[in-house]
Amino acid sequence: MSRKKSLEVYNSLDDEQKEIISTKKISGNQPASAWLERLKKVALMDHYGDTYRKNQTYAILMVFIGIAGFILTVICLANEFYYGLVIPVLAVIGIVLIYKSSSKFNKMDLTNHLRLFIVPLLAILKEESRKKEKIDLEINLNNPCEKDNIVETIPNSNKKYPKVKTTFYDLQWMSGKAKLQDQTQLHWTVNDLVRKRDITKKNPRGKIKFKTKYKVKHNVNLKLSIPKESYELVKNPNENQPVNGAYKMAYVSSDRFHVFKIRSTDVSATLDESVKLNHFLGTITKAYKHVKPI
Amino acid sequence: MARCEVKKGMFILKECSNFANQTCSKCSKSICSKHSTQIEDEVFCVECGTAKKKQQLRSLPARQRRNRNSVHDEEYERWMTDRNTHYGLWYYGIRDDFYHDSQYSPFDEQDYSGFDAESGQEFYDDTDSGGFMDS
Ligand SMILES: [Zn+2]
Ligand SMILES: [Zn+2]
Repeated sequence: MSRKKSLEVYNSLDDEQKEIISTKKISGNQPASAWLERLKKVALMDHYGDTYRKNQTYAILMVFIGIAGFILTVICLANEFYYGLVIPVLAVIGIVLIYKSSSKFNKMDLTNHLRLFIVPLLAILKEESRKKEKIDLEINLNNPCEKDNIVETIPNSNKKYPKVKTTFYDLQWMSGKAKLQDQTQLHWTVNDLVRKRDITKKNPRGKIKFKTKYKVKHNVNLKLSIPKESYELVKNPNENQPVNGAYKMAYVSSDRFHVFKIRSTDVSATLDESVKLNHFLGTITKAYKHVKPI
Repeated sequence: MARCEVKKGMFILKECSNFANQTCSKCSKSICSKHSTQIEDEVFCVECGTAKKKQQLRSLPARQRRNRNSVHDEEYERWMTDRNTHYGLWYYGIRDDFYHDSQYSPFDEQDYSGFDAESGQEFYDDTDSGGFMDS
């Protein structure tokens, strides 16, 4: 059902939107409302697609055909009905076709950053900036765990189980520039640093098990240039560094702006999550809490 | 004619000021069609509507509640699937959670002295030709 819906949405996309799905990259400079118009349907398609992939309908179907084919074959052979031998051939063809269709469908998958973070952020920026103000975006919605993004590999050093291979990946998946209604300039980047651990375990009964565990650090880098003609500083940001290292902030005063540079990190335990919107917005408020309108 | 009194924005609040054609049945604010929502035959502003939906979700039996996402997830999905839905409810749901989590109190348009005089006109341009036309 969700596969059908996903494909229906796909077929209604224009060429530019289809290109986002094949290249998984987005870049451009346009007002928030135009961005939302362009990305909303792509996010919807991914939403339906993910529901389908999560239910593992493909895998269930392949197993079902496999088992049914096997049983029917055995019944035919037991009854000396040799034409029945066409059944395993058909089952194999069926499984291959389903596998091909599933891998084609899986290739259309985008990271959930689009649906969970980027689109809601654009809705917020739309309310926060003037109508015609353009927003500059560079986005990469590829899976971060690809060869090109490997930054370090630590091979297993345990002689006994569990054996663990660790790989680190780093992918900057978003950078953007926007001007808010108070003329504050916002520049930001987000990159995911992924730690992937492939674990091989042996349980007490001697059975070998494989498991993959992820830890993802979403690193947010923000630069806010807040105009001096509208704001004054209320406390010195450089004297106000957090003790627990939750974020880092640097403040510089330029001719026309109070410039804040802030780094913060949000952590998740799966690849399915994105940086939490509240985390990102909270990082912006770190700067605003140091100024007051004049 | 009355103007919509809903405050837009996350960091700096400003009044929507589209022409209002309805009144919120809870807080009695004048509201435009973009910032109104109907729940069980009653018209609410987006803020009261979000609060009402949250309350409805909380009052569900625990088992049903677990199978449902938060209000703004549901509303987000509704917005993605329906061309004519404004994102009001999930936006205000996110805003509500955000203010709650971060203890942040936003600036108000009126906090700025030079702000309005300089850009007042553009502000009104900003309010989507909308409201009326959108409905
Ligand atoms: Zn109200
Ligand atoms: Zn309004």
